[in-house]
Amino acid sequence: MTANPLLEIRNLTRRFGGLEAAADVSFRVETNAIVALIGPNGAGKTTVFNVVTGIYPPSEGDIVFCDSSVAGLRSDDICRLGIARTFQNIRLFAGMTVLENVLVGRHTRTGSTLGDALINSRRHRREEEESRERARHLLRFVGVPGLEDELASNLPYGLQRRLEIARALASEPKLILLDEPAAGLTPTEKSGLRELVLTMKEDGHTILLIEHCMKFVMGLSDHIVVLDHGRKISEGNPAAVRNDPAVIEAYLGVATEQAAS
Amino acid sequence: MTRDAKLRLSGWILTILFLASLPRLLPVTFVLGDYRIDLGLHHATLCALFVIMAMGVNLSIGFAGLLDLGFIAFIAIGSYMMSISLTFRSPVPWWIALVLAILVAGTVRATLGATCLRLRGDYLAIVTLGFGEITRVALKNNLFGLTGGPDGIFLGSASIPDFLDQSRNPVPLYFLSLAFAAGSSFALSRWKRSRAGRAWEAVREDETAAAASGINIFRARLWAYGLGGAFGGLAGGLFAIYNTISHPSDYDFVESVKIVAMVVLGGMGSTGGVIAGSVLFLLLLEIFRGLAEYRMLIFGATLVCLMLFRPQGLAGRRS
Repeated sequence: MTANPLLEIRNLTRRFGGLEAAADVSFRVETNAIVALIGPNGAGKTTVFNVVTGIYPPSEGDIVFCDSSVAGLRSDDICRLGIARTFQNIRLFAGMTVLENVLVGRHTRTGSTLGDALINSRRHRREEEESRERARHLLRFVGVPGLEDELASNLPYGLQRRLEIARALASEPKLILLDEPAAGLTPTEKSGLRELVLTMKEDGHTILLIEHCMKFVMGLSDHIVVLDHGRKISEGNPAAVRNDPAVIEAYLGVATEQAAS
Repeated sequence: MTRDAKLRLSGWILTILFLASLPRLLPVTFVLGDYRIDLGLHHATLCALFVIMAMGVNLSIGFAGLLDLGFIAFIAIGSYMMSISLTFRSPVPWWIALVLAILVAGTVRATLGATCLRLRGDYLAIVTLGFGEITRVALKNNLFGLTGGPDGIFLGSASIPDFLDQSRNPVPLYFLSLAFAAGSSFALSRWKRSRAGRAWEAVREDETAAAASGINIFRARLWAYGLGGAFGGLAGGLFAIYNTISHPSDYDFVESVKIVAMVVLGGMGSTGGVIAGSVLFLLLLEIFRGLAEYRMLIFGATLVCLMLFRPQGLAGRRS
């Protein structure tokens, strides 16, 4: 491997009291790849996401993004550097419209101040127009067209998931983290989402996603990292991971460990 | 021009004509049997001042979701700042005094915010409630030997610039207050549809998602909070001239509650709703003056009904 990876997680550990939610996890995300982070409930997948996006700092280890460490930075700084995310339990701005939600995503790519807004300066007008145009484009791209002025909370569940992706894309991230984007979707919606993720890759995006459902990630990912009880138990291309005995054991369990998850 | 735009334009023209002719229309007296209602131009001026205050509260509570139960403190600071500047040994011009009132109130609130904005919801409300009371008591106890103690600071005709002296002519103060109220409302409606306004709303709706979208939560809140205080200072400065006195008893807890109630009544976050809420509130208080303290009882009941049947306020957006 010659070029440095876009994201490298080095020996990441995150403890909550006595619980090691993530223990000594290391993996890399190459540019323009789709990497899936899988594992049973409570494996520490979301913990890894939360540490990478600065919701809490790592207890140990380092996170290197674009050749510099982002470990322990605040969420908003990490977003500015180019990591955007969605949430497992959708976190839209419920009282704002669909368009406004995406416009919030433009925050780091715009800079007009309160003064600019007050006098309706050229910069303010240019940025607003540009952002609105981009936001509308993104809404079409993710498949939520024609609902701009609807309140986000009024959208059906499947579209809320897509809207969250549009908001994340609005910040023009170098890396986008999707936390269980397929959770709760119908089979039809799932395959639609899969198409969307593939199109995002074609457009040059790099995607790290969390998923429960093995079937969903298998044909989609370039690389899969498997976590169980906070530790990485396997890693590799989909075919290799599927046949790894450690993975099969974690998912199906052995007789004595059935109560674990 | 579309029909909608025409309607809106004629609406604006009518409003401006109405507000401009108020000095000629008022005072009016309604008599209903033994009951008299007197409405004078000073009521319209007071409405304008309450609109400015309500905008300050709307900025904190409506936009940024920061509940403040001691907002009256910043109005008091503005008022005292104005009175102190105007009665100083070498008094400053009224407009410099007003700028001082705005700056000091805004700075004090931003400083308070820097210490307590990490608190959430109810806890922040308690801190602000405490700050409101502390401010009133401090002013009453002749803070820094400047605030005149329980008597307050009286602004005689000598201290108020002639053209703003209501006892000579109430019209200029009315128009000045109206201009500031319009300016404040304008600023808020512009900010609502801007990068900063959306950031405030996002922080109010979901902190974690706002931070993940690149918003510095603390900075956004501090701006909303400090600017809200500046509006309070502006209203307070004008209120000192209106009242010709800065007196500690004018700034107690009930006043804070009244302003929050106006904002809730009109609809948090909605500029037009908040204007309507403050004007309606003040008119009702005046119309039912005969009921004295029972007004508060009725008002409480009204608010409870509002919470039950229309929690977003008269003009608020449902969510």
